[in-house]
Amino acid sequence: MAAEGLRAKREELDAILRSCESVCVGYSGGVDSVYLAKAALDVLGADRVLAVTGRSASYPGVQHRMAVDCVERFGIPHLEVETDELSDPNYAANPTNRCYYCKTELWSRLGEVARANGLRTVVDGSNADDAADHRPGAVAAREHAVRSPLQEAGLGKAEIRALSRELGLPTWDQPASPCLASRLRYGLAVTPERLRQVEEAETALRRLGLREFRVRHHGEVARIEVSPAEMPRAVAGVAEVVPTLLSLGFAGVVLDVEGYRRGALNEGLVTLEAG
Amino acid sequence: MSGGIHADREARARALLEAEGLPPRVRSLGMDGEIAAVSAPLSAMEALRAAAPGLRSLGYRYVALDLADGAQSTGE
Repeated sequence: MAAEGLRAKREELDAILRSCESVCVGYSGGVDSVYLAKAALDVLGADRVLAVTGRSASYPGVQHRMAVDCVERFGIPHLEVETDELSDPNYAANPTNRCYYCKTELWSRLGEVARANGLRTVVDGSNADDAADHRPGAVAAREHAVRSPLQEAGLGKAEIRALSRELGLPTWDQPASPCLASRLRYGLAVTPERLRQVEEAETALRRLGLREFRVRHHGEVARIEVSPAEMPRAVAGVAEVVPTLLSLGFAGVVLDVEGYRRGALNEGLVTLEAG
Repeated sequence: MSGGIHADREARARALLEAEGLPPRVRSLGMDGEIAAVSAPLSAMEALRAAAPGLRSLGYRYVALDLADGAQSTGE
């Protein structure tokens, strides 16, 4: 029954993609956008699909490598555009709706790309689970008439992972990897230097063999969140990376005892917004 | 990072930690002192996790082991 339900959603996704006629895919190299780009390629063909990656200082290098690897491996037409959200003071101030300003820049650029390439529809990789999350970026998507085929088909993250695995996509078990700015505490200005601190700190932790974790930037302090399953590995090795994090300019380094949880910096958001 | 404005909360946190059998050493870190950074060996992780709800009830948003305070290297 579950397999039938998944097959029905996949058929619905195919129908949605066909109705788009040709697509410009917002392509980060994450689980959702890789699956969407591959599904679009299979349904529409290479001359009606263009995966577009917006690059800026907030885009993790590790994610970029995966994005490039996938388009090369599967023959997905690909284009990279530079985005400049950091020059927008509304974004740089890092308000709780920061993603709105970033996505406004991204979808504006992708709209231009779509028009220039004669592509009818801009699509993103939002999925059915995202609807329940704090996602101001979704507002920008609506304002730019961006469609979300995975969400429209009712496909959630676990289902997208299962379908990705069937297709042999290397992203099927890849941990979520949102932009580096998501590691900065709201209200802490987004700067290239802080993004670099986060990226280099996470690179050091990745060398310990950790897969699902975040370095949260609290100004002078780096707060490390590690998934509960990987906490023993973190406890065994984290002391090794503390000197590296201090050398990056953090005055304090702490290991969160409750571990990684998605959207941890959204905790207490109501208080922040009210304040 | 840790200062006088957090002194009262830190005193209550120390009392709570002591009652839980943990080292009563904590400082308030972060932009608004939102992190309770407890000086303890990494082996105290489980006990500190159990104490986290109590510390959060004092107003801390996050509870963490302080890794840059020397407690790890000294094996306290």
